[in-house]
Order: sequence, then structure tokens, then C-alpha cells
Amino acid sequence: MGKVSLKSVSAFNLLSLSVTLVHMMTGGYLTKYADVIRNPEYAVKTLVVTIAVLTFCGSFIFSWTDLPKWRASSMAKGGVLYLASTAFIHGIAVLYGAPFIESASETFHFSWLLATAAVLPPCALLGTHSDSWLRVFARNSPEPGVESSVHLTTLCSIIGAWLGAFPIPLDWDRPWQVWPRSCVIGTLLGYCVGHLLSAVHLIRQHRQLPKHKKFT
Amino acid sequence: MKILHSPFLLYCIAFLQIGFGVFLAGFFPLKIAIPGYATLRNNETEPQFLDQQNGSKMPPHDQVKVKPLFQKMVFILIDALRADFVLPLSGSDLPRMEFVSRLVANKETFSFLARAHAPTVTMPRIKALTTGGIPGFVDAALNVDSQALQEDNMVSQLQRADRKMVFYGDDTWMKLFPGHFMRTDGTTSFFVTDYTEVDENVTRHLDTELSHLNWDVMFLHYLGLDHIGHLAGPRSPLVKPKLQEMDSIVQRIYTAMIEWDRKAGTSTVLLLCGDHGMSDQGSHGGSSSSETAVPLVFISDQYSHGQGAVYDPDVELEQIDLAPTLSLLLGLPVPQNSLGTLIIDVFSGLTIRQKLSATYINAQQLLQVLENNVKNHKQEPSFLSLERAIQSHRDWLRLWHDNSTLDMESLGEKTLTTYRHAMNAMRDRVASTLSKYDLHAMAVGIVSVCMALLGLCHGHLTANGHLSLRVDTSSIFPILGSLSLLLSLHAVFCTSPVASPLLCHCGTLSLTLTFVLLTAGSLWCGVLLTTYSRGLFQEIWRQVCSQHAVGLFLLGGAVFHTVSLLSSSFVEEEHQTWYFLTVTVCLLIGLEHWRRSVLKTSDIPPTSVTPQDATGRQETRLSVGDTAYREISTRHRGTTEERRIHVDNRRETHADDATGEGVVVCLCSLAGVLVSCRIARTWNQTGDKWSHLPDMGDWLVRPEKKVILSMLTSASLVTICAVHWRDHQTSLNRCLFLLAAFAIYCFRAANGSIVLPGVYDPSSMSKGVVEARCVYAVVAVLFINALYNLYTTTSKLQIDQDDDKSLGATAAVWSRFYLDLLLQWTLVCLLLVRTHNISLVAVVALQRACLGRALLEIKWMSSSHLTLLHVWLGQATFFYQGNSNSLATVDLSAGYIGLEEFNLPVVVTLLYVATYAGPIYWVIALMVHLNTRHNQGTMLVNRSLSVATTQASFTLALTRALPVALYLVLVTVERYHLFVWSVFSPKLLYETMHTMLALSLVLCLAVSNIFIK
Repeated sequence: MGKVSLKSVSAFNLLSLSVTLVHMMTGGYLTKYADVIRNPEYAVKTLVVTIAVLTFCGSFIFSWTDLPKWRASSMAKGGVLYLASTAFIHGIAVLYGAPFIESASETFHFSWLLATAAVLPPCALLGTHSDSWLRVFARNSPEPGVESSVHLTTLCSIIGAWLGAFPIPLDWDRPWQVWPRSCVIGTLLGYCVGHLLSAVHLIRQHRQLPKHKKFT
Repeated sequence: MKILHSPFLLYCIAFLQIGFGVFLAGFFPLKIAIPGYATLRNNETEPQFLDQQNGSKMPPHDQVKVKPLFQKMVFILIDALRADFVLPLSGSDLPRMEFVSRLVANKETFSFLARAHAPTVTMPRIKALTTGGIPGFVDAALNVDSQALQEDNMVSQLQRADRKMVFYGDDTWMKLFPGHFMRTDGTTSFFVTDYTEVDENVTRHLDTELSHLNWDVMFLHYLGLDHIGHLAGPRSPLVKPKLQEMDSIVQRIYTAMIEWDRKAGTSTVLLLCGDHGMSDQGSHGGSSSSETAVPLVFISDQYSHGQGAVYDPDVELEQIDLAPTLSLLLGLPVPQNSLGTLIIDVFSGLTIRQKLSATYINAQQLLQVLENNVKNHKQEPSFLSLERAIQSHRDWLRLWHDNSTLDMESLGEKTLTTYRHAMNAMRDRVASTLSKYDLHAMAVGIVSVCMALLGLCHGHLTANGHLSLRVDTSSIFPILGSLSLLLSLHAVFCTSPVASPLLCHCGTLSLTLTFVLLTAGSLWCGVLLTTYSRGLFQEIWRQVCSQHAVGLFLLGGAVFHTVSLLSSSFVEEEHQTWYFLTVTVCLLIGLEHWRRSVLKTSDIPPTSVTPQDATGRQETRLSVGDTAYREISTRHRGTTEERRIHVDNRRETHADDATGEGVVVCLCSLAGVLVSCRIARTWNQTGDKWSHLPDMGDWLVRPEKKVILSMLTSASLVTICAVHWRDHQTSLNRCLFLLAAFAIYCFRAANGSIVLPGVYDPSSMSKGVVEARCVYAVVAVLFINALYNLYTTTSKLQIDQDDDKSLGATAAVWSRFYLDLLLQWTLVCLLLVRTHNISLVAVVALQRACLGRALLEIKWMSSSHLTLLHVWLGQATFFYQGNSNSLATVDLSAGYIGLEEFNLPVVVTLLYVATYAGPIYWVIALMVHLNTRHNQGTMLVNRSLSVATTQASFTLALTRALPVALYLVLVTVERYHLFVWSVFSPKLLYETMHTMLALSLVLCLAVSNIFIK
């Protein structure tokens, strides 16, 4: 892991940021089904694919030498974690007041998106070894590089989804205020902001590195 | 002399309360009306004009008199009569009054939809109907306590004209108009569960009155419909028979009226109207369309045989238009503060000249009101348009005088329209000035509240140690200096144009207020400001920075809630804010607890980093806002103080054996709290945007679901008994508790809301006074017992401040006492809440139990954090109960539980307590939890119980002072906002109530704290 240069992670952050942003913004223009506001469920499906592809690209680029990660058992564990987290987020959304029956499908799609933005990256990039998870999420002391990038995107996606709920009670009566659209948008924006912060942070870290370390 | 915490706290809350009171007095001024009564003599009835032939002023010598169209009137007021109960409104599926609708459809009436002003509560509406004015907002708050009406009004005018009046119905009228009626019989509007007898008590007088006919005006005020609305809403099956009953009464009077008119040759008008509407939930008080729309139906023999008009859905009148209309119809002067404009359609029996003259009289009266309320009224556009209308009236009169051959009717109609526009403009202009704010008093109030807020902040920050305030001889000069400064400021403001009538008047109240405020203010400036001016904000900032994630969130959430009040939507949907914040804080507590336990148990290999990396990383982590890391990094800085914290932390680590099991139990309990939050919020939909959605409460109160409701209620009572089974001290207590629970069930069964086969017959309902009093008695016995236990055990204790054990024992005694109190409070809640909310109480009790279990594990939260958490949960529970920031949701029936007759102080207390049952419950729970923690020896951050209590009481006071301070500023800024009377003012009243409650609880805590020491 130490061989990954901060610059390349930063570049990857910027790539993910721009791809996600472009997808979110232009999805509605390309096909009317991929519009986040008018057709959130379909849009979420396409966005999940985009984010997942980006994440796996990252995983492949940054840790293709990390053999234990590519074992079947470890990948299965990650997959189970990802699916379980979708269900868990769905449960949390219901606790927050999402309708239990009426818009279950919408809620599920939102949870799926949030799981993809917040749980899939650590699954794919950190592996399933508990040490790095605990270091990143319990101690909040990730190593600069992939870990800090994952830390920031996860945190920002969750915060984004949380902030997305704020406009719902306002009496503007706009279509994007309907559950879960504002939260979907919040998640995506949070995800993008996470990547942006991570890119900026890594570039600053890179500048602070002593010269001989910069080119490893 | 050092200042202690308790007196300082008392000083702060007294200052806060007085400041708040001054603000409210400035914001809700009681309306000042022109005293005296209007007379016919001082009005000319037509404008003068110059006769072109002989140059003399025309009229007065041949002024036309507006003849009274009717000699008799029957005024039927049906409380909460929605417009669509009578008028064919589109999109309404509610039952209608058949006979009246037929009359309306057959053009035998004049019927209108009129808009009532907010607040849509009975007494202000009666005032509006009779005076034609717009009553102030506080009239809603004073609704229960009505005094004689001093303003000029229609009823007094009738009395002055020697008309004989009789009145039957709501006794508010008799309080407003004492001695006006020849015969009366009042019914009280406060037993909401009674909807048959109140109306029968009115109707039984009809026989004699309709046969005697020695009256001129008969007022009838029927309350039953309103009571049905409060009980079951406009769609209840009870509504239709009630409307049929009302309909038959109208029909009966109408038939009799036509007969006596034919016999005696008189003319009578029957007026059917509502005082306010009814929302779709059945309540009223707000300003939604269904609450403000009321029907006005004029029925008379004069209008029969198609002389009337069908209802025109495009015309909307104001409810206050009734006062001038009725006055002129009966030949009386218009009440002089009236803002209404007469409804000219119903004067169909007059000639066009008389119609113009009537309008002119009304316009002159409105002009007087305008003169009295608006400076430079001659520049007003409404005045100018009135001038134009009068000019056109003059022209018309001249033409009439000259026997012109033009179409006088249509010319007159045109003039009438000009008049109507001018009068409406004048009314709107006056209405906009009526809400005159006393800015001076408001500013003084805001400044006092802010000063109290800063004082509380200071007290809270120093709650761990000593207040760094002292008063000695050297502080005399700053105090005197600030006193003279404030005095001169007072003098400056009192001689300026914004001088407040409240503060600058020479009365006892004004002088006392000024004196108290000046003393408090100069003490504040002289002591707090001079000794602590620089350090306070730095200290606040330092404290904020040293919080962990949950603490930061609690602080941030409190600030967010305060700021969210800036938006009217967030005020209307405040429950969403609380639900959102409580769920988030519970999740965060779980996360933080898990994180801490993981950090303790697992030894994570720190990555090998160079020191330079470490500094860089530290910075980033600070920017991310993480605090745990900061704690770790500060530990290594190595000042003595931090070492001590480090040692404390270590001790904490060792003191609690953070086992994996404990964490699991804690997380599961928190999950229980979250699930119960989710269940509780489905119970009552509240707010504005989603309040129409069906909820558990609506479903359960349906008549056909009575059995399910009964089963659920008994299950809830059993649950509560089970949850608290081990919390009782003796088996006697346990038995009493069970007895009270059974009595509560019986009370509900006696009310007829649930069934208890074999004991209560569902067909015969009673008020359940005996059962309710039985519960009160049990609670009283339990309370006295708890107090006695507290007294005996504390007097036995030998207290040694340094000894942990003895402190633990004190805490144990107090936690027992508070737990007893909690149990008694649960019983009171069960008795006072609506029947379907009994299950909600059970859910909240479960939630409390879960939280209590979780808090046993969580040791890293300080007592301030706990206070905030409990206050939030209390707020959420307030809204779970179905309350909202609209006056419409107050459950009036709770005020009469266990009462035989109306008793103002008791009713007000019960109402208050029932509305705020949830917040009070959680404050008691807070004290239970705080004391239990000390009892278990788990509090190492705040070693002393009394310190913890002090901190909790300062925090509790702060949770009120902060939103109040900001909200007062907001309301001042938004005082001309469109929603000021519908959203912001009711919220202000709720804030007042809540603040008074919280501050009295703080007072109780402060008193109990004296005993702890």
C-alpha cells in the first residue's frame, strides 16, 4: 500500500468526482429515465453502476498487488457486508421516518445508493481486514492515501445524505423535496465533496512530504 | 462577598422571565378602543351639496332617513359551523343542513361566505361579530377568562335603544354583556364531552319565547357542534344528526316567525351564522381556510318568494361586516370602532337613495376610525377614493334633486361600488395599523433576555467550580456607574417618540418594572460585565472546542433548532426537527460508544509515521472535526492539567470494565430507544404539511375500533406496570399503582371511549369524576409517601463531602425519590392524555427504560449533555402527543378531568400539565438518570451530585434562554410578515408557556439542590 503515490490517489479522486458529477448532471438530458428528480429509482440504478465501476477501477489500480484482497473468501465477505449495509441503511432510513410500506422501493434505492457511496469503497479499497477498518473508522486516523480518501468519501456521503433531509419540511412544494430525492442528491453531492476534499488534502500532504519520498 | 450559584441562577431566570414579560406586553398590546358609544344624532345621513339655483346647501332640511328594515331579530349562532355545512361549496362531501340549503337554493335568503379573522376562537369571534373590530391576538389566550366588553358594540346599542333582548347559550355572552339581557340561561362550553345537553338547555326555552314574543332580539348560541368537532371531527357520524337538529330548530323558528310577522305586521330577520369554522381534524384556532370560512344566512319573510338571491361562490365577505349591517338593518348607529362595511344586498327593501345614505353613514363612521388610527389621514389613498365616492354621491343627489331623467338606479349602483372600494381600502389601512407594536418595550425585553442568557452561559461554564463573581465595596462604582448610564438611557428613550406606554408611564406597575429592570441591569453590567467581560466568549469557545462528537452535535443541534425558527415552515413542522435530531443523537451516541469501546479493547497497531507526517495529519484531523484524536494528541503535549485529564481517563478506563457484553447491551438499548421513537411518531400526525395523513390515533378513535382500542389500552397499562414492576419500593406502592391503573381504565370506560363489559354500560356515559378523583388521590398518597421516605432517609444519612460512598448513598436516596416521582407522573399522564395516547405513554415509558439501561453503560457524557438529550426527547414527546405550534391542537377536554364544575385555576393547571406532560416526564427522567449514575459511582467527571444538578439546571435554563432570545429578535424583525399572526405569534405563546414551565422546573431543581448540600 505504501507504494501508492499520493498524487495518483488525488488524480483518481478528481476523476471520480468529475465522472459522478457529469453523470448526475447530464443523466437527465441523455435519457429521461436517468433524471434524478423525475425518475429517481432508475437514475439511482445507473449511478450505482457508475460509482461501483469507479470504485472497482480504484481498487484494481491501487491494490492489484495486494493478493489477499483478491481471494474469493475475502471478496465474498465484502459482498455480504455491502448487501447487509444496504439493509441496515434501509432500516436507519425507516427509523428516521421514511414510510414503512408506501415508498419502500424508493427507500431501498436510496439505501442502495448510500451503501454504494459509503460502504462499497471501504469494502473494495480497504479489504475486509478489521485492522484497517478500525484504524480508519474507529480511531479516525487513516493513512494519507487510499485510506484517507475512503475515510473522507464515506464520511461526506453520509453527511450529505443526512443534510439532504433538511429541505423536506420546507413549504416550497418542489418535486425534488419529495423523499428520497433530496437525500439522493445530498448523497451524491456529499460523495463528490468527499472526493474533492480528499484530492485537495492529498495534494497538500504531497507538498509536505520530504523530497526523497515524493517519487516513491 | 462571593456569589453562589443558586442565587445567581435565580437572578438570571427572574431577569429572563421579566424581560420576556416586558417583550410580550410590548408585542401583544391590548387594543385601545375609542371609548363611548356612537349615537344617531351626531351623524348626518347624506352629504351636503350646493343647490345651483339658490346657492343654499342642500340637505339637511330634506335628509332622507334610513328606516329600520326589521323590528325583530333572531340571531342563531352555531359554534364551529363550517361554511360547507350550510353552503354548497365545491369539493365538499360533508352533510348539510337540508332546510336551510333548500331556502338558499330557492332564493329565499341572502347567504354569504364570510371570513373570520384569526384566532378562530369563540370569544374573540363574538367580540368581532358584535363590535365589528378585529380583536387582538391575546384575546385567544384570555379566551377562558372573559370580562365585560367595554367597547361600543351592537348589543349595547340595542340596550341603549331600549330593545328587549333574550339570550340562551354559551355563557361567554353573559360575561361579555352583563345585565343586557332580559332573560338568559347560560351553558358552559367547557365540558367538551357533552354535546346533547348543552343544546337541549338552549332549545327548551324556545317554546316559551316563541309564544310570548315580548322581546325584540333573541340570541341563541349552540355549542354542541363544536363539541362534536373537538371529539370526533367533521366527518364523525355524530355530525349529521346534530345538523338535522339545528336545521329543525331553524325551521321551527322560521315557521313561527312568518306567522307572527303576518299577524302583527312586523318584520323579523333570522340570522344564521357560525363564529368560526372547523378544521378537517375538528379543531379550530388557526387560520386555515376551513377554520376561517363561516356561513352568513339572512332569512326573512321579506326575502321569501324568490326575493333573495342564490349563494354566489365568488363573493367573500369579512365576518366583521355583520356588525354595521345588523346595526343599520335594525336602525341603530354603527358601533364606533367597527371596521366592517355593510352588506348592501340585504337592504333590498330600501330605495336606492336610502341605500346610498346607509352606505354614507357607514363610510362616515369608518372615516372616524381612520382619523383616529392614522396620522395625516388626508393623504391616504383610501381617503382620496372616499372623497371621490362622496363627490359622486353628491352629484347623484343633485341629479335626483333636479328630477333628472337619467337612470338613477344604475348611477346609484355605480356610486355604491365606488363607496365599497373606498371603504374596503380604509378598512385594510386601519387593520394594518391596529397591530401597533411597542418597540421600546420590545427592545428592553430583548436586551434583558440576552443579558440573562449571557449570565446563564457564565453560570454554566463555571458550574464545576466557583462563580468568579464577587460583590464588595470596590464594585459599588461600576454598579452606580452603570445605573446612571441606564437611567440616562431610560430618560432619553422615554422622552423620544418611541416611548413605551408600559415603561414610561407614571403608574405603580410601570415604576416597579422600571425599578426592577434598572436594578437587574445595573447589577449585570456592574458585576458580570466588568469582572468577566473579556473572558466569556473565549471561555465559551474553549469549551466548545473540547467537546466530543456527541457533545458537539448536541450543541450544534440546539443552535440549529434555534436558527430553524427563522423559517415559518420549520416553525410549523418543528416536530420534524426534533424527530430528526433525536434519532441522529441516539445513533451518534451508539457510534461514539462503540468507537470508545473498540479503542479501549482492541490494540490497533498505529502505522509507523515520521513526526512530520504526524503533525500534518494532526492538522487534517482537526479540520475533519474529529475530537477523539485531539484528545489523544493533546495528551502528549504534557502540561500538568492535561496529564490530570489523562489520568482521569485512565481511571475511567479501569473503573468500568468495558466488556463486549456491556457494549452490546448498550447498543441494543439504544436500538430500542430508536424503534420506540419510530413507533411513537406514527401515533399522531402533527404540524401543517402532513397533518392530514392518517395516523394510528385517527384509526383507533373510530367508533367501530372501540374494542381494539380497549385491548390496546389495557395492554399498555399492563406494559407500564410491568416496566416499572421492579421500580416500586414496597408492595403497598405496587398495589396502589395497580389500583390507579385500574381506575384510569375505569375512567375511560365511564367516558365511553373504551369498553369494560359488565361494569360500564356503553349507552350511559358519565364524566367519570369519581374514577378520576380516585387516581388523583392515589397519586397524592404516593407523593406524600415518597416525600416522607426522602425526609426520613436523608435525615439518617451522615454526609461527608469527600467520601464517595456517602455521596453515593445520597444519590441513591434521591434517585429513589425521583423514580417514585416518575411513576406518579406516569399515572398523571395516563389520566390526562387522550385515550389513544395511553399506548403512547407506554411506548415512552419503554423508551425511558431503554435509555436508562443504555446510560448505565455510557459514562462519557457529562450532565449537560444528558440534560440536552433529555430536553430533546421531551420536545419530541411533546409532538408525539399530537401537539403542534398551532393553538388548534391543545386538547381542551384534558382541563376538565375529575371536575364537577368549572374552576379556572384548576382547569388552566390541568390543561397546562396535560399539554406539557412529555417534557415534564423527561425532566424527571433526567433527574432519575443523573442520580442513578452517581449512585453507581460511574460519574468521575462531575464528582459531586450537587455540581451535576447545578450544571443540569443551568443547561435546562439555557435551552430555553437561547431559542427565546433569538426568537424575540426574529419576531421583532418579522413583525410585518404575512404569517405573523398565524405562525409566529402562536409559536411565541407556546414559547412563553414552555419557558415558564422550564423555569419553574429549574426553580424546583435549585430548591432540591439546597437540600442535597
